[in-house]
Amino acid sequence: MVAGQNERVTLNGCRTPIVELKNLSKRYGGREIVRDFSLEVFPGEILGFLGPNGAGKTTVIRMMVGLVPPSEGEVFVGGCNIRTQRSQALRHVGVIVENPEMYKYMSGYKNLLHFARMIPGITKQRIQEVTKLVGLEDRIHDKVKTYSLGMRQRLGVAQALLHNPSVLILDEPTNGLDPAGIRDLRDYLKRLARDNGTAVIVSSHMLSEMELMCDRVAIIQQGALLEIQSVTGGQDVNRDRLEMYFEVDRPSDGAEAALRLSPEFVGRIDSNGFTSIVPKDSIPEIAEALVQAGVKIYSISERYTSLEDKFLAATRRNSHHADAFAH
Amino acid sequence: MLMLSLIRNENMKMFSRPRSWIFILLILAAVMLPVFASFVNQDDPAPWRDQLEQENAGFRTAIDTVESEPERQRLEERIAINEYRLSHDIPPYQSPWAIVNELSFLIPMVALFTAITAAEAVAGEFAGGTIKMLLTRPVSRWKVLLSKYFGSLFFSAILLAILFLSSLTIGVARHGFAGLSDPYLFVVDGSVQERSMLLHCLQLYALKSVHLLVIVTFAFMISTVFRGVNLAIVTTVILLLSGDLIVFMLSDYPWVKYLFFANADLSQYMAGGEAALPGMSLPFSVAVLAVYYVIFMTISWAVFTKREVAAF
Repeated sequence: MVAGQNERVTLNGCRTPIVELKNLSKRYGGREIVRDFSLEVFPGEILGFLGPNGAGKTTVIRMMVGLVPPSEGEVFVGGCNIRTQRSQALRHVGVIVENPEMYKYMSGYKNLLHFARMIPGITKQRIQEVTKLVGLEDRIHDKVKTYSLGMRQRLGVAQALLHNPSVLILDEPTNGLDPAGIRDLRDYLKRLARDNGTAVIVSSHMLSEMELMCDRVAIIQQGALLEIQSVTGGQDVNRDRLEMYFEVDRPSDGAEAALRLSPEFVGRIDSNGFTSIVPKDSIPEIAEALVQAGVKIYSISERYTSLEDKFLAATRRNSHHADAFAH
Repeated sequence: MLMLSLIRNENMKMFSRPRSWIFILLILAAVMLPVFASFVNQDDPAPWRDQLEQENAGFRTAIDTVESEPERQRLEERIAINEYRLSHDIPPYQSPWAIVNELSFLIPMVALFTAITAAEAVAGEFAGGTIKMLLTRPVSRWKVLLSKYFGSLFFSAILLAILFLSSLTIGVARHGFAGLSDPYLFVVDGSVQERSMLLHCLQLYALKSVHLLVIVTFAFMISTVFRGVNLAIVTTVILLLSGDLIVFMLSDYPWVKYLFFANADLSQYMAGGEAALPGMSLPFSVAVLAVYYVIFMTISWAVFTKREVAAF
């Protein structure tokens, strides 16, 4: 896949991938859930699977961890084929597929003990470590059925981290977490990737979340990998295309004034202002035009929706392709 | 080593559920009930010799009116045993073993509880979604399944041991240690034979354990084939409870003796016992059960190791 090759260049090319998906396909009956999906994940990066619900993100994850055999293609984790060397491959992996389903009738501690026993070499001390890491020390001896969704999510992360995996796969990890919890998880995953060199794969249908968390985002639609985008945060965004929000008293007059400057400054208008995609140099001009038109400016702020743009652009392009194929 | 850890996991899960403890309490209660009931009825102070004489007199008058040959034979055997007791000074039912022997009628209860537990073993993990967590560990699927199987067997062994020990405890409480060496009496070819009561009870339990083993395996197969817990439990329990009825209703057909249920209870072949259907013997039943066992195991393994753990 072209996108994959591009990424190799941007991520210093000499690293070997920890996860390789090669031409994965999954069919149920005549329906193709996943199509020719190829991807490489490198140590120390956080990769996002972004796509609408039902795009096939979870099926890809299930194939990655051997829960579902692919109809075609191969999965390698740490160089081991998940089909022929399942145990060696899974030794590298910590995973939560969909919701973290734990044994509700047991305490959190017993759940951790249960999963720890399945991998040789995990000490009781390690169980305490991961408990502390996810901040469940106070409740760890309570039954899981008394936990909130967020606490279960954290217990799920704890069990996935027990054996210090080189790949951590989290399916919709922020489900049920409150904003503070999401922030904690994000910070933790970033630290894990940076300090331990753990490769983290997260799936989500929420753009904003992916943008804050990930280094790269794989955009998935209808079972296919559309493209892989690097997420660069706010720093080196293209200076020629900033999405700015102008908070003004008369949005439609303001937008009109901006349009008069350049027909490319199209923006969406809401009741409090309008957005406009402009080069940085043009911001003072627009401000001036607004003042001259008698529109009151309350604030001008940048919107980091570069990923959303990319996502929408990618999915739109694909639907054109689909149309083209149809004819 | 890993297998041991996996089995410990199964036990931890088993005994973390209130259900398992309720089963144990129910068995203890069932063991106690008949004993308390018979304490109440223990008002008859008549010496056991007089009782046996009376019993025999009753049997003798009955024997003349009985038409069927097997019934007559049964009565004759009881008379012979009573006379043997009188002449050898062995009082009836004064031994703790006699209570163990009598309370072994509760073993089907153990079978029922075990079947429910085994039927839930695999289906429960699927229903709860925990199967995803279980099968994404670096442990092969067959090891996971084997540990669950051993876990179910272990639980049935525990229930059986509890039944045996609590029966024995009650027996000792009732009759003291004195009767522990009393013999078990049975009739072979018209003559009364003696054997150790302990041996008799252990043999009874051992033969019933084969029954349990096959039932657990059967329930386990149902559990791997069906994903729903309730479906698995209901199917198992219905087949378990209706087994004797099915055999009875079909007993006119010659192939009925190849049915799993007709052969499941090997204690029918115990000393003095008789096969339920003509043409059956202990080796025959063992062979039939072995074939079923292999079939059940093969299906469980084939289904579990191949199954896709897709979305629910």
